[in-house]
Amino acid sequence: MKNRITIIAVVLFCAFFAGFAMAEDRKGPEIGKKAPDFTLPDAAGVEHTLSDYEGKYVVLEWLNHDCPFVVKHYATGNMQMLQEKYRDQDVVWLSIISSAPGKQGHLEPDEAKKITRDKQAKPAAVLLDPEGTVGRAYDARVTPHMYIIDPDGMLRYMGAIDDRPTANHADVEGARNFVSEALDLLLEGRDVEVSSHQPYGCTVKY
Amino acid sequence: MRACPLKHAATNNAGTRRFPVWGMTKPVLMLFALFVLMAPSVQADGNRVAVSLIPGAPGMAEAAGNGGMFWLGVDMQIKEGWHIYWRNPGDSGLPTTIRWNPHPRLSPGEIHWPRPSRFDEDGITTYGYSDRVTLLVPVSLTQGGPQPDYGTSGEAPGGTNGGTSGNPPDSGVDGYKEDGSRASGAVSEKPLSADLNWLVCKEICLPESATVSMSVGEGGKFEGFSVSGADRITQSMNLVPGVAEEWRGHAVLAAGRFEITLTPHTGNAVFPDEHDIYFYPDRQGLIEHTAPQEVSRDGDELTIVVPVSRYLRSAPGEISGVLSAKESWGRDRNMPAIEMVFPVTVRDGEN
Repeated sequence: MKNRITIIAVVLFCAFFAGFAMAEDRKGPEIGKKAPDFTLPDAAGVEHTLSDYEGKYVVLEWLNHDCPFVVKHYATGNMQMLQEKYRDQDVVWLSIISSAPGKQGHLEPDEAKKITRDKQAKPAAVLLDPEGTVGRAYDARVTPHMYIIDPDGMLRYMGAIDDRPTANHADVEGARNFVSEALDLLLEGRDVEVSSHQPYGCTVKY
Repeated sequence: MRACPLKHAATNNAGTRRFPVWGMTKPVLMLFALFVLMAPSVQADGNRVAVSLIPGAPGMAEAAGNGGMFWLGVDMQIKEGWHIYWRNPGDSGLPTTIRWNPHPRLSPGEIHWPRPSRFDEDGITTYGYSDRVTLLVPVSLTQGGPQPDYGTSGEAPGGTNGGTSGNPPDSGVDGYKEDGSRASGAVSEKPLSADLNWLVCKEICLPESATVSMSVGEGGKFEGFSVSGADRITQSMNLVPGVAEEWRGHAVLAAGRFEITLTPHTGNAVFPDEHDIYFYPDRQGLIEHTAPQEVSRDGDELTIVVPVSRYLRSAPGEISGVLSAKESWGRDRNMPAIEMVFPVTVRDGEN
């Protein structure tokens, strides 16, 4: 009994200080803090400013259609399904392309429009970040790298789309999707259980 | 030289129209041949990685004499400029996976990974291999190993076995199960085969796959065995991190950093040059892979300081991984990389 109490105490102690230690200043956004504001044009040339969406949940999805990890989620219809499902719940879904010109995944506005149509993707907008400014501000490292921002502009989730770090299409089914899990909890007014998870995918081609 | 068989083929196939390439004029054909000769780095299957199996023993009998096991090398030759991944790929990428097809006599184990290299690109860090790597897989002989009659390989138990070619692939398995005495090793056996999947990257990433196999010939001989192949396995074995009884270590989590401390545990411990030391964690999400690691030595204490990953949500009970150096970590053996497990304690520290 005494042992058990000691173990619990140690675990609590560890968890507390680990969280504390990790709140140290580091580049990139932090869970529970204000997400970096930005303005980017979409494929139609319309500018989108993050802070204009205050009052709504916003999902940021880093996108490169030539990346096998992204292909896994689009070829299976998984990403489109999520985009549509949460659009219907008033969530603003922004897909961001940070590939530099000449690098894999880079799209000119017309190409971005076409591929979005061809893939039947349903984001609120595909934003073009060819200079990588917003990608770097979010420390977006891979595609897909996912972020959820709450109606107050606070970051609620960052990291992997799910718990299956593979490019295998068969792994979509049955995966624990951290983005939909977090959104469902938030939309019910509850706390996010997994607020960050090591992301997986291709590197962002800055 | 290559043009000759091509020309020969051209005559034979000219009428079939199945190979329009044969209809080319001579100069074009020569150019084509030149092109084929000049592009050896892309495989016939279009892969950027060529994979083959290298048996580390000549056959079942030698494996039986070696405690019922042998090492099988999964040799991966990687096109210049590209790389594949270690068991922890780092910030992106995927480790190579091997799915072995069931075999009646051979039971492959887990991959033993040679120590990886570090790749810094696009602001992220990954762990893996370029040029060439030979992954090592221990293969156990099952069902009691080879029978003494291996030497009499010519005398196959004729009526019951016509070799694998005439039977469905799995009939050999049933044969073994039914035949209790199993005076059988003399015939050619089912090949050991596996499906490999890997991700190969160079700015862009491509998932690739291949099926590899090793034939088992008469008398349980492993086809493809060679002295140079066995040397290759030995070389690779030296790069697989060893369990280091020579060292003890622990880690302290404080101020967003792991401070890993190592001390010699036996008189055989040798300090490698600290400038070449790098800690490769076993899994993602523990440390910031991109961050420089501060290595310092104070007397008998070697300390490695690495920032904690921003994706680590709670303190782990232990962290494990590979410590890599240029020189050996042990006096009497060639051991430039060691496997270590560090129990973690959390310290309030300056917070």
